[in-house]
Amino acid sequence: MINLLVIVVAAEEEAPPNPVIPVENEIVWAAIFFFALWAMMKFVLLPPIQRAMDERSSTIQSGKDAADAATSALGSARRDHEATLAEARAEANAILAGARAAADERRAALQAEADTEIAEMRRSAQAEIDQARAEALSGMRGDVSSLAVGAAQIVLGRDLDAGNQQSVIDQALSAD
Amino acid sequence: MNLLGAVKFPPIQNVIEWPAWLFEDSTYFAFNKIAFIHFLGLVIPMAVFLLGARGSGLVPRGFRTVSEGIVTFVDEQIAKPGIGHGREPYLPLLVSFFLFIFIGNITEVIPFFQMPANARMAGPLVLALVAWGMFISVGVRHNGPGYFKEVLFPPGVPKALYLLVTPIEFLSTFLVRPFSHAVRLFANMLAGHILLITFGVLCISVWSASALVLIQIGTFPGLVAFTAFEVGVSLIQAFVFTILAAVYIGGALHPAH
Repeated sequence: MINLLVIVVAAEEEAPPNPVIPVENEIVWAAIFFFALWAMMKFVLLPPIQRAMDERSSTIQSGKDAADAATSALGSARRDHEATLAEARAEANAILAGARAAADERRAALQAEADTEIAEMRRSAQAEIDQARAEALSGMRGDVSSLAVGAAQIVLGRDLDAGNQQSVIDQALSAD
Repeated sequence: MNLLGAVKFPPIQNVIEWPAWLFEDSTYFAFNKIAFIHFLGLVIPMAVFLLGARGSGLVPRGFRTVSEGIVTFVDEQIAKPGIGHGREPYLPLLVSFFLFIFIGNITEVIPFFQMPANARMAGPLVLALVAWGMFISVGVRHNGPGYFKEVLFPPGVPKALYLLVTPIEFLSTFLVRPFSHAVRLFANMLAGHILLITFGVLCISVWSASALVLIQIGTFPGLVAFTAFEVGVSLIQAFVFTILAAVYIGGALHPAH
């Protein structure tokens, strides 16, 4: 029996330790170092890193917001610019139309003035022509009377009174 | 040495028993290699974040990029899907989980260390108990004692089924959860470590046995490939542990969801 116990004790002494059973000193050190790391991480190590990350995020966000605002302002400025341009274009068109209307009016006035002047000149020329014609006709009537009376005297062989024959000659010319 | 075929494997004690560097062995404060790796889990994040906090300017550079990247990753990929609205107070805890575990894992592939601290049960157990205490306290603080009713008697379940559901919920949520949480990390890291040891021992043994040297062609690339794989495992296990903690906290914060 004693021999059996000795064998069992010897077997227990020689049996390799069980790797699943934790060792006290390793538990102690693992706990100390892990809790130290956790505390350091919570109070010392992580806050500045998170703060820096948050600051960067907010900087990026504010930059993005500023870019969005600038884009919006650019759009607004572009719209204003286009509106101003359209206004200027409309104003220019109005000025152009006014100038064109004034030019047309002026041209019409000048045309009317020229037409009046031309009509006046034409009337004056017509009067001069009529006067010259009347003068020429009157001169021609005297010559024609003299020639007709002279020709009649030659045909008749006697002298004719030009004064008496004048009315007959006038009737003959008027009949033409 | 354990013999497996012609290959000599080191005893499991080499992975489990770590002699103290400071203080007496078998005391509560015996400071060994595992404790030193946990110490690095405190010091390295501190250094990175303190150096990162010194940076200024709109565009982050150097350590600030690293620290902001870690915080953004934990917030976006872990806290937001795990907790959602109201996650801000738990971010320091989740960042601490992630970094402490990752550093405790990645030492597996770093020369001189070549041992993941989380292949020992102590670290994962402490972290899992912290997560457990945190989600229960969050549940009680935000929902009062009704939190336990919400968990143990889920709404919508027929009353007769509570005989079955309530004990299962009690066991799974309040008793088993911290251990499953811890063992998931611990077992993955220990298995990965043993895998690397196996390939390392195979390389050495095959190299010394000249007749088998041709097998080295397979073993050495295997060692390199599994080392790279363990880098990924280190990151994934840190992520998985942390997101599970976040999900537990989120479940306690919004139990109706």
